[in-house]
This record gives sequence, structure tokens and C-alpha cells, in this order.
Amino acid sequence: MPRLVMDANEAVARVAYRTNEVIAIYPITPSSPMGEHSDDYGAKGEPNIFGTVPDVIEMQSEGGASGAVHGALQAGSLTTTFTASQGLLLMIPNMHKIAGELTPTVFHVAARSLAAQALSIFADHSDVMQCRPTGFAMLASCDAQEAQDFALIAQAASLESRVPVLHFFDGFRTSHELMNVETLDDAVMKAMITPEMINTHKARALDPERPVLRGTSQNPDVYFQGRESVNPYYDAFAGIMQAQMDRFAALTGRQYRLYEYDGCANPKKLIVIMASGAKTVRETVTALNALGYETGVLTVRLFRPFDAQRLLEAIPKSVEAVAVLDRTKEPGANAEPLFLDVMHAYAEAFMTGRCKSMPRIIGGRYGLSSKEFTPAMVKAVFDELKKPEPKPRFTVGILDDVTHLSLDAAPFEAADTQAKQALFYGLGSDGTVGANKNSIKIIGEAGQHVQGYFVYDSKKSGSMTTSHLRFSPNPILSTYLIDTADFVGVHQFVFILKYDILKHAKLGAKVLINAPYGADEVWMRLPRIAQERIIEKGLKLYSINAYDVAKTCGLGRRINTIMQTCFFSIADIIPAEEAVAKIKQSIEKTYGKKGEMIVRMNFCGVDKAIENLHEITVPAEVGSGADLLPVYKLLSPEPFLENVTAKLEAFEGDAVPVSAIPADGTWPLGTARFEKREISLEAPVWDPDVCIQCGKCMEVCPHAVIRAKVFDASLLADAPEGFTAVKAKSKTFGEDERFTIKVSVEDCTGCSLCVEMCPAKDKSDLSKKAINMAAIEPIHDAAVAQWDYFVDLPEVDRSRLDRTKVKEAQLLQPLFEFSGACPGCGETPYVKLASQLFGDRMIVANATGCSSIYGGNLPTTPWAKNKEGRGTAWSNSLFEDNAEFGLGMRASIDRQTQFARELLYTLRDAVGGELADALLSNAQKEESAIARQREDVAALEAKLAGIDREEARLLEGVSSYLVRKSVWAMGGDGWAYDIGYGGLDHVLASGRNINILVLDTQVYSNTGGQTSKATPVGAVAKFSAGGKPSDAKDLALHALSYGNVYVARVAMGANDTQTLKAFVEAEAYEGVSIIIAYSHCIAHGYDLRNGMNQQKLAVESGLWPLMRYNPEKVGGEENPFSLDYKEPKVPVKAYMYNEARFKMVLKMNEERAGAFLEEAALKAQHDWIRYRDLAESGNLTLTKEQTCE
Amino acid sequence: MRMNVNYLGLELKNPLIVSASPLSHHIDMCRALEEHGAAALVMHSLFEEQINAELHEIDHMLFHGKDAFSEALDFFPDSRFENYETENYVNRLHALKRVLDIPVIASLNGVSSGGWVRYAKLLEEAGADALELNLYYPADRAWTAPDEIEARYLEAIAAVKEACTLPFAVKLAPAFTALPHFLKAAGEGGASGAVLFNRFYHSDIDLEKLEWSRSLHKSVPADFAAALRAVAVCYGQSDLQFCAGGGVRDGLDIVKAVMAGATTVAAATVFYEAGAAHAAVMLDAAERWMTEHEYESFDQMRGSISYAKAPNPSALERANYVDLLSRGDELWF
Repeated sequence: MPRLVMDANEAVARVAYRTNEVIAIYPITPSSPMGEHSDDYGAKGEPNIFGTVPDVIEMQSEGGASGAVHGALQAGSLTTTFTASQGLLLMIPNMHKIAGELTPTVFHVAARSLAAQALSIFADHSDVMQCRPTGFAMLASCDAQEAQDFALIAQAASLESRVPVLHFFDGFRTSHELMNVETLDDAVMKAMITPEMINTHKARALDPERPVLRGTSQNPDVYFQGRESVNPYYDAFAGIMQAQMDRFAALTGRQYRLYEYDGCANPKKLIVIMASGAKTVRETVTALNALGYETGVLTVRLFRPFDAQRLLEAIPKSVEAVAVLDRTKEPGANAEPLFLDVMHAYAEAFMTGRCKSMPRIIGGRYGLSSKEFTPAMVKAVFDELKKPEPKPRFTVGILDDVTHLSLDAAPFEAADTQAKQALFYGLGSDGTVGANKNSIKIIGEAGQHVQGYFVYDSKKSGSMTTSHLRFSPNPILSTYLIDTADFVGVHQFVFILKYDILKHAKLGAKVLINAPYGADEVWMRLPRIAQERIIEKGLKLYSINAYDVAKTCGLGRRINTIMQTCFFSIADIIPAEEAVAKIKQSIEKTYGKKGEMIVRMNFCGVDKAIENLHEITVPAEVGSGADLLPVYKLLSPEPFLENVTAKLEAFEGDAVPVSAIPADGTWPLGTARFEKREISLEAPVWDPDVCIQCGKCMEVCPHAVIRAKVFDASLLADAPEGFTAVKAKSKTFGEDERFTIKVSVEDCTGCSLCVEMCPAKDKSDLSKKAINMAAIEPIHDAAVAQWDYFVDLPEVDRSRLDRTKVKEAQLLQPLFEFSGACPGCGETPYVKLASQLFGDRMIVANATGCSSIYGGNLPTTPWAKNKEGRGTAWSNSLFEDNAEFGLGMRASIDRQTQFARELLYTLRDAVGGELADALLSNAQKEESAIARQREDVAALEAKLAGIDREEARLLEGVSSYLVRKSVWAMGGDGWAYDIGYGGLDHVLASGRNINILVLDTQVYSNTGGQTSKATPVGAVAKFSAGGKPSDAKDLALHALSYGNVYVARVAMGANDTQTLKAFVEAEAYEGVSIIIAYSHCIAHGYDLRNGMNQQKLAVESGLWPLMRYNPEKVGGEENPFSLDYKEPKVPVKAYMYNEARFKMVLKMNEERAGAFLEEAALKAQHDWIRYRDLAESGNLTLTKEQTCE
Repeated sequence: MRMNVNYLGLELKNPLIVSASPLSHHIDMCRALEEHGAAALVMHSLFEEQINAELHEIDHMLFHGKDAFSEALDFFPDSRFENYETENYVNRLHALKRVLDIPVIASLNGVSSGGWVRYAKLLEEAGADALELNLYYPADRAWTAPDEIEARYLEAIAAVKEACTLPFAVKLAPAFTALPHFLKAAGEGGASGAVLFNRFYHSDIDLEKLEWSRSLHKSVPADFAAALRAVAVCYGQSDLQFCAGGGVRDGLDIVKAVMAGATTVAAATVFYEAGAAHAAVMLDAAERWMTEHEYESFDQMRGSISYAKAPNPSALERANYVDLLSRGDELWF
């Protein structure tokens, strides 16, 4: 079979799909692509090796997936699943069941950190280690080749042994790393998975034709014996697994061992390790031994059942000292699991006389959350082993200045000298990563060994991607990032202006820069540090104006093939002509015969790339280069921000010591404002003469970069030049007050939603509005000065503003700003609105997903405080539990509020009756009442200090709870409709004063657009490749069924006043409130500058029925049910076909697309009738009198 | 009496053809039109711009949001797109050719010289009986001279002529400063016919939204006057054959058009409104008139009242204009 370039997710999916019949899945990073590949194969009708197309089912959670797997297995199908991290934890209950019933299956896990002090999507083994007691065998693979092979071997071993297998490999490093993989053909798979094995499994299935009972409830008399009855299966497993590995070797020539030694013949020092890190240790051992070290490495493949005897047999007897490395942490344990097992293996062998002496054994942690694990660190471990008194427990890869466990790692390189290394810095979506993936395939197919690993930054907008590519005639063992490269490609000029990129260039390396300048201008545009590096290191400098070339060829801003061609022209890895031919072939393959025009445009890019590539003559001396642009702007010295956050911003986070990191995961608010990312070339500019001061531009700005204030005219005296302000139009303000709108151009992402939303047009030039996009460069400095002055202007007194009017609500300070959400994000305007209305007394439970990532992903975070130091207290617990998490917060606050009131009542005389009564009677429904309550609480606290009573001390601890708190549970539709639905439902039924905000993007946005139960009919999403056949669940109707829940469905772009009313009413309602907010999303596949217009069309076409139901109005004169949209007039097509997710179906199958349109139109009509009838009937909860009538 | 004509080298049973319109999407309707006498069918236009836009759209679908964020390396499943405009067009052409005996003329609207040639060849290979080249380059920039635009058209004509063996007509917009001059050049460049005229979206200003709106209005009888006059003016000044269209509703319109110089008359709107059977009604009316007026054939009639048959055509046209001005009050009030 051919050797292809792929990552482990694909390599595993290819085998798992072909050797199973049912696949139950749920998306979670970094394992999602395994499910997506499987779904893709299924959608294309590809059969498995048995000749039938497997059933790929997306479930509502990993718990659900494991339940479905359990059921499918019990009913006789070969079944698998893929997961990681918290998802794996949700599978544990079923894993105990599956293993307890001796059911063969293989779960494939892209191992990932668990959420502890923080969530992390990156690799370590803390998830799989939680599964040790489940009874699953645990098999670790080191790279994509092993992952593919083990997927098959594990399946065979599991079928033969009846022991289920958890097959794992490192998330991202292995799951996403591209390498050459010798693929498996069907004959090998069929030889490994025989019909006898399958039928033996099927013979145990639940079948009414030969019924059995499984899953009994056992009592003290037999449960214990039942548990022990499985022992022989586990005793036999290691032998079966090795035998299957041997069978596999006979078929393929690739021999694996459960415990595999590499190194010199008689090593003195040994490292024991699992998964991808083993490759780096192997590489380092070779390099060290060449220097005279006597070292070796034992790669542990089978971790459970742990075969101590085989493990010890694999270790050369000469070993005197062993370091066992665990990629996990078990706080409070004597040591980590692999270490304990190895230590125990030796101890028992020594105790029973099977081994004459014990080596010194130490244990260390490495690589948590994909922390780099390099040859320097491996050497540090071996050097530690050489010490007379090595640290018995250690960490490597970090600086632990608290418990001093870390080892110092001096620079050391072990990489293959024949390997060529290349680094590329690109912008997310500029095609750099895609082009590099293609380059790797081209070079891999040309016969070289290749490796591609891609690093993305933590922002969803304007993110920098770094591609790490290695090519070598030898197998590549370096499972770590490239530090210094032979080739550095800078695909966006701004990166070299901000970062010292060329410190990563080797001496004499080639550097290619995409510069928006002529070749003669490039040198002088480089910052000084770059010029210095180029001269000092003797770098060869090349430039191209790729955007110019792209424009000439009609490619817009797609520079991928242009830069790829330049790379091959310069890098000298394979002949440039051969590479160009391959690039052209892959272009043709991508677009196919029908995409002739795009193919030609890309060919043009390829041809013109070579014509426009220039080598820059490097001067002998540094010119007048500028300093690097600041990436972090601290206005006042704050040690934490300087020592931690700023370092993270500068990509120096690896050097931050343990002492600097908060031990409990508590981080300061409002750090995003210090980060100046300057990712846009354009920003909105305000025209005060046209502006009607409606507030809509601010309202829709996803990143809170457009703000307005009304202030005393006298404050204009010190304003910087060009600071415009006009008389405030609202009657709320006086003659001497001025209104201004300012834009933080440094934070703008250029999405243009504001311009699209602006209703005010210039009467003499209707192409202009009150806010218009303009190039930032000419206005930058003035705009920054004006923004800085603006920020310091006083905020408008909240109590003066009518919060039900958009234009006044938008004068409230946003306490959610400059997030890393996508440009044009449809979620953040709602989040920001909540922060404006309630942010200074809000506590947020945030479900994992986009909102928790742009809301809480380091290095900087958007939730902020006001000048009084008040802001939103925010936390993310998990994905599945968010409603419950919020309810817990509510219960806690209610309890403490009640306790405070009780204490205050007790202390009434001591604090003064008037103050106590004022505090106890203030309903705090308006801003002024809340302000008064805060003043009274301050007065109370002052008085308490002078009262010598226990109640006073206790009241001091809870006095802040006398101020009304606003509890919000926020998250996406994946949470609310799927994984968290059970909890959400329970909270809906709770009657507690909690507000639920569902940011409904109609797909799992954060993990890449998988289908949720909110996905509408006809939309293409992952797991709905041909368009979703059924319509979304109506969550509003479900919530309405309780009768006492405030329910609103909103779409800011369709009716912002309705949205605002819904937020205010929901928060004011003393019960459960749920707001389901239409959130346009990058996953919908169109230019999000039109997002608000699409919201409008969604409502006008009837596909997003706006409504509010306020139980407070039940029994009153007003109709509690407010129908906030009109009978659908716009055809659904006018909304749907603006979005790729719907239009893709049209491009796939016109007939199916037509049927979807009809179904959507029908749904719009049905919804209209249903909601109109509800509105006409009014009360959903009838009073006793009404019922009796 | 002979009703048949030869247009673009095709033997047609009469001059009435179905003009380029979405009618060609509906095969049953096309069959009915054939049954009721329509002599040829012109398919709706294949637009090069539309093909390009579609491919950009596909490109967008393939690469949208790709490789930008570690958790979401893309947003859509791998999709195989089948429903491409060009392929659909060719499939429709095949389908029409299968069910119709009358000639099927494919219509092409290009923008690039490469596009004209590529798609003209495609349509020839797909079995079209002739081509209609829909020439339209929006003259909306002050720096674009009229001769540049005409040169573009002539380049397209020459390119198609060189690449294809199929006869073709050019379909033009009404706004030409010197239409006869251009048509002469078009004929010399290789065109066999001219279709007069193209119709455009109707642009209007939405006073609520303060922006332009557009819609495609159906032709009305008054539209026909423009084509009739243009055919009359141009007939005989080049070797081109003419197809008159726009607002054709009546059988007598066929007679008028042929008298002015047309070889064929194209209609579509009227078939939407009155049904396919109206083709027979029109042909009957034309035949009746010819019988009553003892005409033997359309060939005999063609151009009989064209300006070419007047002793001094340009003076006649000016005189018409002056005459209209002098009778202004009478006409308008």
C-alpha cells in the first residue's frame, strides 16, 4: 500500500472505520477529526472491510456516545468511538460496564489535559490515566504510523481476548502532526480481523432468538466472585496482544513490542516513557551515546494490563538508574502512575528474588498540556540520573521556584543533521497552513521523510499560525517544535514588525518575507532587530509582494500558492520545477476539472510568484530600522501584568516560573485592553454631522471598540486635536453636555458590522453613513490619542439612563471588551450587552465553547472592571454542567443574602433601625436603588467595625450579598440543546432567579461546526454532510411549557429594541429566564459584515420567530406573550442562499436543495401559525379563576 | 406559400423562435412550443461571470475559515460539488436536444476573450445547433472610450469565429452610437446574425431604503418598436441576418419584423402569459395576413420596407425625428 502523508487522527479513522460497523461519536478537541473523517467516509458510502457501510452516529455528549457504543456492542456490532479529555471522563461509567461484561471494542483517544485550574486543549495523559480502573487495556502509540497500526492490532487483540482497549496517542503532537504513513490494505486488515473473531463476538450478542440476561444486580454473596472471575482474561491479554503484534509483523514487516528497548547494548541509565515523548528520548539517546553516554529508553506501549515481567525482561540488566517519565499529575499521590508501576515491578521482582538488585529509580513529570519536551530536557534527566543523589521526584520543562522540583536544562540539540527545518509565520485563514500541508505531501511523496506540526495562537481573530516543517532522508524522531530553522517564511509583514522572528533562523538560513513594498524598500522597512539578525547570522533575504501578485491574478488575499512556490524556489529541498508541477497538480486536484477558472488564477499566482520573487542585497550595516512594535501597552505599572501577562503576549510564557502563576486558577480581569493587536488595516470613522446618536454601531460591535460618552463640554478643553464632539440629541442630557463616539483602532478587527448596521446616511452622498470604514494608517496616531483621552472621560451616571432604549443603554460602559472572538462575531454583542446592563453586579457561569474561549483564554481576557473596581465575576466549569453550575451560584448567593438579612435583622438596633430598614426594604429594581444600596452597605460595613458581636463579624463576611446580584448561565447551543440539556431542563424547572443566555449559532462553533440539535433543516454541518434532514429543536417552546419561565427568542440584527427589552425583562424577572439569541457565526460561511442583515432576513423569512413570554404579566392586563415578528414575507431562499451552509446543498444536489427550501418554508409557516396562536391565546399559565371559567 | 426561412445556416420551418429565457429550463413547455410551431429555441444565457462567481463561491466553501484556530481547523465537511452552472447548462442542452426536433441555439455571455472561446467550444461540443453571443460590456467609466468597447466585442467575435465552426449571431444592447457601422464590422468579423435587442434589469431607487433596487420586467409591446426600427435601419448594410425581439406578441409582429428586414422573430414573455399554444395563434395570424396580401414567402417579404429600400435612408430617419418634434404637442397632450 502507498506511503501517504497524514496525521494520526486520519490514520486511525481509516482503520477504525474499516474495521467497525457502528461508530458513535461526539466532537471534542483534539479527537474531533477522527469522527469527522468517519462521517465523511460514511457520507461517501465507503464500505468497511466486510463490505458494508458503517453507521456513524453523532450523539449529544460523550456520555451518550459511550452508552450508544455499549448498546451497539451488546447487540453484536463491532463498535468504536473517539474522544479526549473531559469526554473520556464522561465515558468512564460505561467503560466499567463494557469491560465488566468482557466486551471487545477499541476506544481511540487523542490524549489531552483535563480541566483543573484551567481548561487546556493540549496533550498529556491526565485523561487516560483516569481510566486505569475501568478494566480497559491501555495501549499507547508514539506517532501516526503506530497509531494506524495499533488501531488494527488493538481491534484484533480485543476481539481475541474479550478485553476492551483504550488506544491513545498524544493530542495535537500525534493526532495533528503530519508524517509519512505506510498505509494498510484491506488484505492485511482482513487477515487480522477474521470472520471467526467477529462471529464469536456476535454469538455473545443480545438476541431474542437465543436470549440471555446481562447486567444483573448482584448482592454481597456473588459480586466479589464475579469481579475476580475476569482475572484469566487479563492474565492472558499481554500475550495475546504481543501475538497480534507478531502476526501484524508477519503481514507488514513492522514489528512492535509491548515494551521496547532502544539504546546502547549495555546502558547504565534508562528512561521509561510512553507515547510521542519516547521518540524524542530515542533521538537524544542516540546523540548522547555518540558523545560517550551509556543510555537507553524503554518505550511502554501496553500500560494496562501492566505486564511487569515482560517490562523487566525488556530492560537490559546493565541498567543502574532509571527515570520514569509521566505525562500526567496526580496531586497528593506518592508518585505518578507509570513510575509507581515500574517501581513496583522492580520491587516485587527484587523481593521475590527474580532480580538480584534494584536500580535507583526516580520519577518525573514532563510535557503537561503539550509543554515542550526537547533533547535538552531528556539530557537533563539523564544528567540528573548521574548525580549521586538525584531528585526522587522532579519535573522537567518548567522552572519550579516554589517546590524546586524542576531540573535545569542546558541547551542541547540532538536532531538529525541531514534534516532540513522550516518555519512559517502566517495569519489564520491566509492559507499558509494549508499550503504547508500541501508542501509536506509533495516532499513526502518525493520520497523524503516529513513532519508537519502547526501552532495556532489563542485568538480566533487575526491569529498567527506557525508551521513547523521538517524534511529528512531519515525517519524523523523530533517530537518538539523547531527552535532554529534553515528556512523562515514570514507570510505577513506585521509579524516581523512585532516579534523577533529571526532569532529562530539558523546561521546562513534563507528568509522569505511577504512585504507590501518593492524589493528596494524592504530592507529599510525591517525593524532594527531583524536587520541585526540578518547581518549577524549571514541570512539570505528574499521578498515578494504576494498580495500584489494575488490581486493581479484575481486571487484576492489568498497568497498560499504564491508563497508556497517561492518556498520551493528558494529552499532547495526538491527541484523547483518538479515542485511547481506538483503544486499545479494539487491545485487541479483541489478544484477539479470544473474549477478551471480558479485553477487558472492559481496557476497565474504560481507563475507570477517566480517572476516577482527578489533576493535582497543585504547591506553591511544596520540601517535606520525601528524598534519592534509593542504588543502590550501597560498604562501603569502592575507587577503581575508585567511579569506574567506581558511575557505570555511576547511568546515567553514557557519561561514564567511556577511562583508567578496563580495556584488556584484565579486571574485578574480586564487584561485584553492592554493587548494591542492591530490586526486590521481599516477601522470605522465617525461622522458627527450625519450621526443620529442611535447607538447601533456600538451595540453590534463584537469587540467593543466603538464607544460613546456624554460629558460636560468643559472637558473638551484639554482634548487632543481633532477630538470631535457634538451636542447630545437626547433630552436626557443638558445643553452643556456633549456626545462623542470614538474608536479604538488598535483593537478593531475591521469586521464592518458597524457600518452595515448604521441607519444614518449622508443626505448628499448616500454611499456614506455616519460611520464609515477608512484606512487606519493615516489616522492611527490621532485616533489612538483621542481614544486614550476618551477612555479617561467620566462614564455617564448609570442612574440617568433609560436602559430600555438602545441609544441610552449603549452609553453604559461595556465590561466585556476586545475579546479574541472572530471578526464580526454574532455572539459577543449579546455578551457585551449583558455586561453593559448588569456587568457591575453579574456573576457568570460560562459553558465551555466559543464564549468560554474568547471569554477566558489566556494570555489576555475581555471581562473587565469599571473604575469603582466592580465587574463581572466569571467562571467556566465544564461543557455539560453549566446550567447546574449557575444554579449552584444562585443558591449560594440566595443563601448568603438571606443569612445577611437575618444577621442584619438581629443587629438592627446596633446598626440603626433606619439604615437596617433601608437595606432590608430596598428592592433594587433600578440603577439608582442599587447605587443607594451600595452606599448603605458601605455605611453598614463602617458601623459593623465598631460592633463587638459575633453576628457583626459574620455579617462582615456576607454584607456584599445585600446588593442584588445577577446570575447568568451562558453558553452555546451545543451546551443548551445537547450536552447540557438535561441540566438546563432541571434549572428551567427550578423556579430560581437565574438568567440563561443561549448564544445560538446553530452548530458547535468552537470545535469546527458540528451539527447540534439547533442546526436548522437543510444546513450543511459536520455530521450533516448532505444538509441536515430534520429541523432544530424549538427550545423556546420547551421552556414555555413550564409556564413560569421567562422566555425570549431574540435577534439583535432584526430587532435590537426587542433584544434589549428581553435582557432587561429577563433579568428583572424573579424566576428562571432564558434568552435564545440568534448568533451569526463564521461556521455559517459568509462575510460576517452582513451578519446583522442575515439576522433580519432570518426573522423576516419566519425561520427565527421573535417572541417574549413574561410570566410576570400573567393575570394582568398585558398579554404575557409578545409576538415580536410579522407574518413571513421574505422567501426563505433569500435568507438561506446568502450562506454557504445552505447553498452548499444546492451545489451538491439541486433536487435535495429544493426539498430543503420547501421544508424550511413550511416550517416558517408552521411556526408563524403556532406562535401567532400562542400570542392570541395569551396566558400559558391560567389562573384558578380562568380555569374555572 | 412558403413559411420556411434559413437562419444562421439552419433550415427553420418559420421565422418564429423562442428567445433566450428561463423557458428553456422547462422541457415540457419547450416541447409544447415546438408542437405549436416554434421553429427554434434559444436557451437562456450561460454567463461567464456567473461561472466565475460560482467558482469563487466553491473556493470559499472549500477554504472558508480553514486552518485558523486549533480547535476549528475548518467548518464544513468535505463536500463533493456536482451542481455546476456549466455542467447543468450542457445537461439541459443535451436534454433539449433529445426531446426537440427543432434547432437549439445556445446563448453565451462572456467577459474575457478566453472565456468566450472556452465556453463557445464547450457549447459546440455539447451539440448546440448555433450560438448567440450576448455582448454586453457596461460602459460606466469615463475613461473607457466607445471604440475600446466595440473593439472588445469584435475581438470576442473574431475569437469565437476562429475557435468554432458553428454559425453564430450577436445579441446587442439597444445603446449603440453607430449600430449599422458596428454590425457591418461584426459581420465581417464572422458573425452570421444579429439579435436585436437584449433586455436588462430594470433599476429603480427605493426611497425607503435610499438605495438602488432592480427587477427584471417582462417585455411589453411598446418595446418592439426599438427592434423593428433598428432592423429596418441596419438591414442591407451588411451580410448579417437579423432576429428581432422584445415585446413580440402578435402574429403581425412577425410580418412587420420580416418586412423591416428580420429573418427571425424571437418571443418569450407572451408564451409565459398566453401559453405555448399562442405560438400557433401567432403563426396563423401571420399566414393569414400573407395569404390575404398574396405573399408567397417570407423571403419575398424580407426587408421590403426597410430603410435600405428608401432612396435616402439617413435623411428619412432625420425627417422622422423632425416630424415627431413638430407634432410634439399633438402626441403628448
